[in-house]
Amino acid sequence: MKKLLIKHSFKKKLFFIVLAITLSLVICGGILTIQGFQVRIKADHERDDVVQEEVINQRVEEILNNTESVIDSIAENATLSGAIGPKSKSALDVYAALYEASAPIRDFATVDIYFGGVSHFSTGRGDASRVLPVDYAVLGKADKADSKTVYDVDPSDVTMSGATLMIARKISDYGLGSYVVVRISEDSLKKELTGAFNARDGFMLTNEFFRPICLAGTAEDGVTLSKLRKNFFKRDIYNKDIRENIYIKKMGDTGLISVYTTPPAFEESAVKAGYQIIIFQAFIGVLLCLLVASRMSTSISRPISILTMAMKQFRKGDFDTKIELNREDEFGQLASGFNKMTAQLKETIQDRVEAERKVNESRIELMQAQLNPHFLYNTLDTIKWVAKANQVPEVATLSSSLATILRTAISESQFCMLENELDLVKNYCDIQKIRFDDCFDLEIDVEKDILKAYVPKLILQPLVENSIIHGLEGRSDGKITVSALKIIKEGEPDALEIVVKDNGKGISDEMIALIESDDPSALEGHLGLKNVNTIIRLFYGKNYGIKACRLDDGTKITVLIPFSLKEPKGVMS
Amino acid sequence: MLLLCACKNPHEEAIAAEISQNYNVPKEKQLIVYTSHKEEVYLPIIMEFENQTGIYVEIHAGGTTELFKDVREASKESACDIMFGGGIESFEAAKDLFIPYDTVDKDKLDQRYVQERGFYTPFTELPIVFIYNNKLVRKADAPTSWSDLLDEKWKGQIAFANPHSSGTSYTILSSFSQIEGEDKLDDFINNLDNHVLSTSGEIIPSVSNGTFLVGITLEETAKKNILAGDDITMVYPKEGTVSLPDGVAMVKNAPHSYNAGKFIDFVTGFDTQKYAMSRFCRRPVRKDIALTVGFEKIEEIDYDIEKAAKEEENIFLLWDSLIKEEE
Repeated sequence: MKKLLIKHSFKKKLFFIVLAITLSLVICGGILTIQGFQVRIKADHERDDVVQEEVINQRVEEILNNTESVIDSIAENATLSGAIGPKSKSALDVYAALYEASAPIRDFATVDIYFGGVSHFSTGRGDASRVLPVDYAVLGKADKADSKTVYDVDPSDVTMSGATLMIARKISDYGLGSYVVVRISEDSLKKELTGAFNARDGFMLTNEFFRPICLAGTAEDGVTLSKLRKNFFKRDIYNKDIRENIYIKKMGDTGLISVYTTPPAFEESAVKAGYQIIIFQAFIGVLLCLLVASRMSTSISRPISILTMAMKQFRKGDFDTKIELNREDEFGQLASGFNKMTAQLKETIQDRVEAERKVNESRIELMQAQLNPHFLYNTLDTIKWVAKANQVPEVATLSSSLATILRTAISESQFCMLENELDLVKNYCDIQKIRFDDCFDLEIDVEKDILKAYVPKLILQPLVENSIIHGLEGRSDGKITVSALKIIKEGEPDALEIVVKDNGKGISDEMIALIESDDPSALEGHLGLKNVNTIIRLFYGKNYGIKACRLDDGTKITVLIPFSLKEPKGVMS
Repeated sequence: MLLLCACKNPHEEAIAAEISQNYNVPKEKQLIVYTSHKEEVYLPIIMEFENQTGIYVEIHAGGTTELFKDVREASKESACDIMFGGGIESFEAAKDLFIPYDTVDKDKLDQRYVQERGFYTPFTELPIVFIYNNKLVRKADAPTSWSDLLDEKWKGQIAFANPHSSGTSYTILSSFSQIEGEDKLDDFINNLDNHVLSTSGEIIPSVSNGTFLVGITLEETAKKNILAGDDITMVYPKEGTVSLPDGVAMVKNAPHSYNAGKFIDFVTGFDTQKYAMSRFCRRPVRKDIALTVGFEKIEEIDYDIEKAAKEEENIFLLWDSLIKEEE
């Protein structure tokens, strides 16, 4: 279960990492592409638009310029400028001059000569009364502009979707004043501009207040213009709510404005489709990530689970566990490392088992070698009696002393009375005297009341042994004195001081230092002294123990323990 | 994505802002006009106003009744300066919507229609006239007075629009009542013989094409159609007629009240009044304009607007009781 969990969490982690990378690539890349594409296409589109706008504006300017020059020629023509007035010529002459002068623009425009508000000569068809208000609209404007050309609309046919463009100039001040008026109807203008703009584009010619004169192409419905006008009025950004690109240009000082509109470079749907593709890619990306994550996690988690299984097996004690992965990658290395490790561990463990087996064997041997001490004791007793019976007193003494020592040694109690301990020392010395040919004497100087004090057993024998073996080595008049004193100090418990003195060669400074040091391991190699010290400290703590000092002739070893007439409770048990 | 947009746009935005800057209309050059006139009337006038003053006008056009509602809403949001068009009786009824403004030429206007406190200003006068079909009615037989309309020979031959849909029709009924007496009104309605047109726009065509012999309409409408070539003749009733002007007024909370004042001055100005007369056959409200040929001096009857408003319910009740829904 845990393994499964780990695998899943790993997979999840992997999945999210791969997903993050993929999605960020797909989405960022996609959006960048679309946006870049959009910017690029838009720029291209705008370049084309500007060219197209220039074409149509040039066409409009051409028309206006032509009209202007026709008006110029009419104004300069004496026959026409004086058509009505004292020097007026016959109508025929006037018409001849008018038609000649207006030839360049007659295709799309009609030219009238007004006297006051009434047209007197016209290149237009029919007889429709062409009355214009004076002091109002176009003639009013022309009047105020003096002899400059003015541009306005025909008030009689103006609508919200267009009007006839009127270009007028006052040419004579005689009487009510006479005016040249050029009319370019909406339809003629449209016809003139056909081909100058793309079918999907729109063109608007407006007055300076963005009132339509001619709406053509896709701008014909006037929706764009009314939005544009609204934005200007509301002081918004000019193309708010308008999807088309808008190019506005003032037509010189005519007061006319040309507005060119082109559809957006990118249809909303195209951009939308682009983003849909990105979403689709992202979806595919998620699927791929899932697949990759699951594959990769399996490829990683499978060897891990094999390793885990192998470890479990190994833990259970199968030291022959081996992993077979057949991979050359890090996992392969891991597996071979594991295999080497198990092999090494197996060897080590085998070595150790072997060593232990040997230890056990020697232990068994040791146990087998142990004899029943009571049997030994009884045998010694028998030897004593046999020796007495056979009159061999040395053997009797040896066996009797050894039996006494043995009895004390094998007794289960850890403490004994000082007198017993002294007996043991005496017996020991008896044996040693026989061994060393009676070369030393033992003197015991202990008061009676102290003899009943309890001491840890076998603490004096090693000290005496030390004196005999090391101190009195090579002497024939050796003397060992064992004395004991009760020390009473106020505020402290009573203590017992036992002194073992010899007249040997004296203890070395080195030994004294070793004994004085607290470190019990320092006495390594001097088992006797060490044991005694250790035992005393174990029983009574660090305030007690043994001390050594060199005398002028020999060595003095002092044992300090608490004075007690009762048997203390064992500590070592 | 935000980043992309952010790094893409500043340039474009700067250009857009510059263009907007170039053409944006400064507040002091704005005016918002709600008008119930026809496009052919308001557009040349408003364009001339723009040309002369340099003020941009935002136009909201519509029918009188709905437009008064719109103006009421717009006034609350301070989104309307001028109400232009609609009979002055509508302005009178909605006086609370407007703020007083005295046009500079107030003393030159027809004083009968000038609102004392200037809540609204008359624009043009629209007398009620009779028309008849030239081909079907002899001049001698044509009705010349209000009482002639009660003649049995015109029974079912008078083109008249339903007053429920035409404000002018109601004014005609009310005028008749005020001129001939309330008791004669049921005779007049009976004389229609249940032949009622649904809109006032149908009156001229139906007389012109002979469906009806005579009709009652406004001078402006009749003259325009005669000029356009309809074979009808217009008659001013000999005992006089009612001539209710249409109006113009400055709306409460007008955001551009200074320009609104200019607009009222402009439409009551000499040039515009003269233009409205020559171009739209509308009788100027100014007294210093010489009437052109075709505008007879008319005997005008003082029309009691308050009375007209008071008896409205009764007249409609009478109408509904006498006219059977046949259409």
